[in-house]
Amino acid sequence: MKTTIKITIFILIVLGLIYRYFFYIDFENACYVILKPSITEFSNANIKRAIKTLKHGAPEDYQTFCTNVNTIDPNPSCGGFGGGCFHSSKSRTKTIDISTSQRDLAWTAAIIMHETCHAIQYSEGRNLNEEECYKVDDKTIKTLMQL
Amino acid sequence: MNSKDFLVYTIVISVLGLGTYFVINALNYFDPVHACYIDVDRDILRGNRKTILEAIHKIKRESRQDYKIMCKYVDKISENFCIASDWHLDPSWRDNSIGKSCYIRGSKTIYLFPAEEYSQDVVSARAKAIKKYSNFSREFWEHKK
Repeated sequence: MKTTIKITIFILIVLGLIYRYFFYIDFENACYVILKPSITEFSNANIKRAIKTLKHGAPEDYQTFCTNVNTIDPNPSCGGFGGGCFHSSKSRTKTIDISTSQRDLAWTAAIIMHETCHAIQYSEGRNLNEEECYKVDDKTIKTLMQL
Repeated sequence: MNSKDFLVYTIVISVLGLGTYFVINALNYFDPVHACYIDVDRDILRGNRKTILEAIHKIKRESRQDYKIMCKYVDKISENFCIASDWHLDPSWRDNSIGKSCYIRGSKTIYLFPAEEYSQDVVSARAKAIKKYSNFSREFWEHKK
């Protein structure tokens, strides 16, 4: 009996840690995002904080993100350290690359929306236009920053 | 457990507790009596954690009301530039953000403009900024309810 309790507690802790580090789930808004593991990002905490900040501070952007992205890859990609990237080869799974562990909260939120913009462009069969997506992250920054 | 074991146990727990308290307070701000924990994130190259921590203590000394607001509505104070726009569209953002602090809507995070200098003027200016942006955070979260 004692062994069963110990195993159950151990499994619950492991599941809790997996949820804590590798998933963002918001049932209320039907938002389900997988956060892939990465040595550079380590805990994915910065990305989760940024998603939650979008949820409360920029609800429209948050809905757009939830609709068009289901996986975030935090490993360094074409955006380098502190940036983001969208690979059309990954688009079938609605994946964006966000490597912002060394950057701040508002910047991370803005990069998430920039790459979401590319995911939308791709899903609509359009070219990956940077100018359009700079305007999107600019809008996010302006919404979140209160000077 | 006999009384000797209990005494050893109490001493070990107390030492560990005090050690944890001092380590946390060296890096962040922790006031267990008022259930107040604030993550203090300094800019390694251009910042100064000491002036942020002293600013928090100054708020606590001078106004209990401001201190309560700060503890409730701020969970992170970060030395950072307040980027007012994407620099690809507006390269002047750095000039425009010099000296400015800000609150990040949707969070309980305050950005303080990095300042390496230590002086009472800097501490006072930071205390004033923290109070201002704590109130922005309070307004945001109260309005959201």
